[in-house]
Amino acid sequence: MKKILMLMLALTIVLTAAGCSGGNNGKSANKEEASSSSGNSAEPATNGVNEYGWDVPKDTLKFSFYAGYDDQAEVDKKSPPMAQFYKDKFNVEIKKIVYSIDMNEKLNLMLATGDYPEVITNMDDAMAEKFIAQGRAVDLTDLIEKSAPNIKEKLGKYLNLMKDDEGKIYKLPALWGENPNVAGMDFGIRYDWWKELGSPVYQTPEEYYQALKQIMAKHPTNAAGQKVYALSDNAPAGTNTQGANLYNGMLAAYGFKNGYKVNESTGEFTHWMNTPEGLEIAKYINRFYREGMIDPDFLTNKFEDWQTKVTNERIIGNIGAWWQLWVGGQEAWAEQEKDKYNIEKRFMNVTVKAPGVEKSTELGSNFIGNYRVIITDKAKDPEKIMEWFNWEVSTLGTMITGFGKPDPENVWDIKDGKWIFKDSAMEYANKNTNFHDVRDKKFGAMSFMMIAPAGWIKDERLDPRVTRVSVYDMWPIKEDGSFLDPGVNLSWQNVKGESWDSTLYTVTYKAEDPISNTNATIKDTLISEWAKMITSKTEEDLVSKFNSAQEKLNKLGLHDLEKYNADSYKANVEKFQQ
Amino acid sequence: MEIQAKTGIKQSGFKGRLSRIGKRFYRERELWTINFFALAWVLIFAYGPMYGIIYSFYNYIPGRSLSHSKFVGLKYYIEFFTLPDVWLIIRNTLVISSLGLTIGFIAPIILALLMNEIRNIKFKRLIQTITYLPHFVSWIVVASIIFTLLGSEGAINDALMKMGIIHEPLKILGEGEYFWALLTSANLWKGIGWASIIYIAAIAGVDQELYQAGAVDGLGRFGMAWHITLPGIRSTVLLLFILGIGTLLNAGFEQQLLLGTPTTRDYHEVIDTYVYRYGIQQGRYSFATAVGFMSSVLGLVLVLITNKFSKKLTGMSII
Repeated sequence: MKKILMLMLALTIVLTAAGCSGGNNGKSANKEEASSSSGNSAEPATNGVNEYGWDVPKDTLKFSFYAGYDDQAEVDKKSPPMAQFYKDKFNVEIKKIVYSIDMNEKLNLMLATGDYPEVITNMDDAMAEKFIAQGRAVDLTDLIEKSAPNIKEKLGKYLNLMKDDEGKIYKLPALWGENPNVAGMDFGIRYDWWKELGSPVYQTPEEYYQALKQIMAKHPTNAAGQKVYALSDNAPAGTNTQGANLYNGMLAAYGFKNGYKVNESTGEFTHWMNTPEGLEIAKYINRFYREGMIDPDFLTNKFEDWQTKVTNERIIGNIGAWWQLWVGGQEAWAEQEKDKYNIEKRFMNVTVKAPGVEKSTELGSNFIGNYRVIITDKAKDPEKIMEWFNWEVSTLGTMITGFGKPDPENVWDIKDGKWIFKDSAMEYANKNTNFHDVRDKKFGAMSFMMIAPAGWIKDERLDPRVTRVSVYDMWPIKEDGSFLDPGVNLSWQNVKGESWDSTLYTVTYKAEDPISNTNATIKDTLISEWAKMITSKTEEDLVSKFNSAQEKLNKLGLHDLEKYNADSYKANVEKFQQ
Repeated sequence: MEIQAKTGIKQSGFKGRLSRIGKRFYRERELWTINFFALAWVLIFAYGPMYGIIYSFYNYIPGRSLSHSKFVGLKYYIEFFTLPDVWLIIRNTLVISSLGLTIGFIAPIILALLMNEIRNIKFKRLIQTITYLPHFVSWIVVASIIFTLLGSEGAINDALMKMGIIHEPLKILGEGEYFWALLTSANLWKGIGWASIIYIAAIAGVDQELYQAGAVDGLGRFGMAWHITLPGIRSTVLLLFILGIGTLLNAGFEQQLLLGTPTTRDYHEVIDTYVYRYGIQQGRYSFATAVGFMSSVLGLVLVLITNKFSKKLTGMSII
């Protein structure tokens, strides 16, 4: 028995050794192959740089990315033209993944199960921090140095804000860039009705209130006999933030920065609920409520409900983001009324500033935005992905990402090295059909946007007939510099605000820091307390509700949040100046 | 076996018990075979995931393995009770559940009794179908119907204004005070038909001779329903009530998220919505597990207590 065992043991050792040596041989053979392949790499590993500035790899670059909330069926329907273009001309195959559930919820599940793609984009900063904290994001520091000169150049000093405490970069901004938009958080009004009044200039909240009141008296009902209101509000589907637009717009008129009063000399941040201006703002909105000037459904409207009311001419004005009135008003009317559409039937955006306020903050421009992109540890070739990022960030890369393949049939094409927009795409009356529909539906533009800037694109090759080109839109201009669309000129003639750089006010909530929970609780409580305040039946009641809300929010940790914001700002300034 | 056969003395101890179980299994083999898949389902899907309860005792962070997570004991259980709005959340949960367990529990019984009185079979089937249908409508659709009907310019306000009952539209969706009634009504509308099925089935099982005897004794239709039908389905009613008590801390979820607005937060926030928003959505799985487990344990305790009471008072119980 012993002999048999010994024999078996000996055989096992011999065979294992043979196996190992065989393995080694194999390895050396591979090494030779590799070296011969690297010897072959004397031959270029790429097919050369294509006409779009991308060094086309010999081996197809394949990866997938998760881009947030959307309908996968819709994405799959829209993206094939772009995918085909990338495959044919770039030898790149990208798969876009979206889910119809809250992005943070999905990302947490992805983290827990370890099932996530190579790239994740459009994630908020706190989620990016979670992936980084768990070692799931690739260190990009060296990759940027080696393969991403465009990213380095275009982000410039702002790249410092992406660095962690050890100076490493694991995340990059998505939807970033300079965006000095003409309009922001404005005080909108029905232009034609305002003109009927003799175009009274309004520059303060009180003057705005008076203008709305006069119009309401003149237009108590719409053509269908339905009551017309001075103001309303809404929240996007899936959220319950109705009422928040009103205080955000008002805070801009009072010069607050991201909801805080900032004492530049002491570096102190005070949340608006802890300021006397906060009470003034609440009183102002409450007056509309008490006087029946605000839509009774303003705290229940979803965006679509609100849009219907605007389109049905039941709303005179709006305090909040300019584009909402644009979509619900002139864009919808132009579509409905076609040739009969009167260009003066539109909303005008106006900069309003509270008395004594030096500068309103309606036009915040956050260079790094609020969204991030990471390359995860699932990436087989992070360097190649970084090279792709670098191409996407190039001006031509951004143009292609945002507007699709340059093509005579598309909204833009490359002619003699210039990026020329098609004439039909610049017809402002048919912009939806000739511009947005063509690039989105026919050419699948923006399907694979991961890191391209959302700010204005500046390049000497760009069609001189347009300015303010971003991946979202483009605005044609006339020789005198005014907009080709006279409607835009009417809408924006009274926007006087100057953009302020809000980048350094960006706050990162670290994954395990309890302050992120405090922030979420305060956000929810504030929305609900604000709704109670502004629907008070008397001013005394409002003051009492304001005070009790203030006390409640401070108990929840509002002062901690103020300090956290102040510290974040200080840290950002230090990082930025590195 | 041999010893037992020879001596006639029954085997005792562990071996004996095993042998008896084995024999019983063999005797009931057909029943066990039939139930095999159901038992496997319960084991895999109901008991299997329970290992996850352990996460509630650790500071688990998505992406980190449990072995690298810090043991925190009852931290998250205690945290729930230190939340700033905890009593508001518990109050809302209990009120909404209690309304469901009273109005929402009695209504399907009444509907089943009424359906039992319909003599025309075609009409009865039509009514049954109409009352079941809302069960299949998703909460998203129900919410949009409710918003259309009850908005300040909705059909209800319109009708009330036209009838001169009110002069200003009621803010049914925007006033917190209406929320519980609104939610209970919506739950009732959606669930009454479906919940009545089991009572209709139980009523069908009541001995028909009892009704004949009742008729002889001069009972009218109401008397028959009171003295014959209701006692006939008493055990079903009790069983469902005891089980319903177990869901006292589950006051619904989708309906609150869809129908709630900023002004109704003090009335619509319940344990499940809070756990969803501050637990699941923020990836605080340990906290979410702790609260979920706590709700389940309390639900089980309530079921056991109610069961004991029922046994004492009526002699009927589920265990």
